[in-house]
Amino acid sequence: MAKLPSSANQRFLIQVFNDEALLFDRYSGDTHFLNAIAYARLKSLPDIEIKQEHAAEMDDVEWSRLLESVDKQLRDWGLIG
Amino acid sequence: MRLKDLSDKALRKQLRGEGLGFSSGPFSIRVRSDVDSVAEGLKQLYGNFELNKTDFNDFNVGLFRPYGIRHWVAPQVDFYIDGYRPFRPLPLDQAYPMLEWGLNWCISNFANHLFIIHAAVVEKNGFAAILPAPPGSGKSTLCAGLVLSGWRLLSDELTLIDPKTGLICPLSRPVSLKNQSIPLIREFSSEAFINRVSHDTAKGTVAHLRPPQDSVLRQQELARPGWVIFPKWQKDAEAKLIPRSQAQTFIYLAQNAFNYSQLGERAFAAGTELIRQCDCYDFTYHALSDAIRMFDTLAEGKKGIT
Repeated sequence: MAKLPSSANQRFLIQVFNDEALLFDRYSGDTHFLNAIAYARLKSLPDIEIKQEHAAEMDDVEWSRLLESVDKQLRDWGLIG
Repeated sequence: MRLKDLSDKALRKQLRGEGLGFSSGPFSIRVRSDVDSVAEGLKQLYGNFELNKTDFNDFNVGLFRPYGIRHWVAPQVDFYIDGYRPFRPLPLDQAYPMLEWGLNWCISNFANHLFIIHAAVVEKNGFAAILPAPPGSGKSTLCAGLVLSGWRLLSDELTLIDPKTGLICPLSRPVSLKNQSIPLIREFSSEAFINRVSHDTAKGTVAHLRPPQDSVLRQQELARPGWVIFPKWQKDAEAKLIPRSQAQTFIYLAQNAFNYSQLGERAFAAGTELIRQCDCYDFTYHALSDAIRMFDTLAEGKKGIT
């Protein structure tokens, strides 16, 4: 199992499959799929590294929008503050 | 004593009286019925099942013709579990399929000690191939073709995973065939026994394939998960396996499980452990024989793994 931010440790179970992850939320009973970009964000990898690895072709404006939506999703799920 | 050892008369008498008890995988089932086509279907399709006489049964089901006008005019049949009727009646001609659908409903609604996924599952060399797919994808046809070609039938509809061990429990019951797959499977194997066809059901024309004897005899033998394969029949497609994401495969299985939300964390743990042990693929095919060859190659690859 990968490590979650300490505040989320009691709440979430995480299983990692290559560069993707599955999260089980003990509070809600929901299960979430984290694609490679979302999982990299959760691990707090540098933006530039994530872009190079997963979205090298994407222009910067589009990339910022994508990151915003990923972060919003992670926030909504209670995974990041 | 096996079910096929009963005379027709004794079988009908038992069905109308105390009921006919047998085990299918982890469940003991007792059936009562006053419908002749149910007796006929049971004898033809469950003939190799051992009868049991336990007082306790997991499922006590019945199929009876209603009293009143529907006994005579456009006759119907009701399905009962423990005296309760969960469904509307169906035309009498659909009594046998109603038994199979009713049993599936009972298991998928009440067997919450198991994690149950809507998928066919077959086994070879100790490893199970789980075949989830939406209706119309050719899942049951492929399942029937495989079990007529040396793969062991675990189930054509319900994959039962024991969350304690991660192993798959067999539920070797007749394979439901629909529409064009009925003549296709008849033509595919001279060993295929398919019972009488019911027309104009909610699923179209349906019939059931008798489970192979070996699958019935080995119905207490659990299997390790080996693959999750999403079959899709496509006209003129070459048989091809394309690897797919394990995590996305898990999400699909969870969404198509009957009791994921009831089991919660236990299902998450059992499902992710299962996926970790499995190679996951999308599979397109046209010719059943090519599909079976490809599955056999996969099974050869696992041979000798303990």
